[in-house]
Amino acid sequence: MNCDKCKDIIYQYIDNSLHHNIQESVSKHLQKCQSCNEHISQHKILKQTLKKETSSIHLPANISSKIYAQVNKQKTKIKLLRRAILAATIIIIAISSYFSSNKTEQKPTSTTKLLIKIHTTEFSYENTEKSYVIRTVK
Amino acid sequence: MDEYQLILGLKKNCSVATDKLVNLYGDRLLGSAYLLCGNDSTAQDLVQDTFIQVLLSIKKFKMKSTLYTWMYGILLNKYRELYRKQKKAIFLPLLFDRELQNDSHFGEIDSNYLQKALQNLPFKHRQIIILRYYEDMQIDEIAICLNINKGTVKSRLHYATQKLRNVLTRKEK
Repeated sequence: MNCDKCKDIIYQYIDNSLHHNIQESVSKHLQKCQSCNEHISQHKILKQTLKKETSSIHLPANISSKIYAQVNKQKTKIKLLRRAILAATIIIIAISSYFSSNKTEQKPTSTTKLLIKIHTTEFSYENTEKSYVIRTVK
Repeated sequence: MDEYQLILGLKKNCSVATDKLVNLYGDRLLGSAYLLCGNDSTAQDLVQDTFIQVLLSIKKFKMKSTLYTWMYGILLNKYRELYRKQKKAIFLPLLFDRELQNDSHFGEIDSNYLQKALQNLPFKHRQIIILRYYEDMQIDEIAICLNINKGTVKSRLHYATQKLRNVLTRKEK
């Protein structure tokens, strides 16, 4: 194994997630190679330092109840908001259905009836004395 | 109480489950938040906001990853949100040359110095350093947590570690 290959899989080696044959050959390489070994020791140092860095800070003891109270407050807010939205939607639907029902109650005028007839029929024309008489084909 | 029961408890809005969740993951999450933002009280606020968000949206948690990984994603979002709102420069000024003259002795890595070096990394490199070295996550887990592929995780990690090392060894000379 050469250094390039080793450096490529060194993270998996540390995680112990390589196939055991490869794991072994990396170990062998590490026994000989100083520069790859530095990677491993660096990993350890970084890990320890970051752990040490954060070991002194803790959450305050009462934070859990604070969080719980805050969450419930927000949940009731959301509930109220949802109810308000629901009420508003119902009102809007009611108003719009009132107006639309007024429209549908209107009977079609004679003009619209004629228009409908024109659209749905085919025509043939016959010349009579005074005027054109429209006779439907259907 | 295992994780599944804990999640069920949280979904039922049970206060015992909330206690348990905070005790179990609070300090760990706080450590990460602290390394992310480099400030005690901001980290605490971030963690509190994260827990509130977790409890509010626990019903959306589909158990595709571990609870902690999911929570970590929320923490990262909260962090981004915070800095977008404040529009604050996250990068501290580099003081390496000056400190090099003043400070000649230190242990393996001076922790104050490390924190400063960490805060000087771009966010995407900092978060990957924290996930790897503080949270001790494997490459696969990091990939899931950040929703990027494994190759990207590896290259970013490599690059970030190298950057950090450059800064730290420059100090050590």
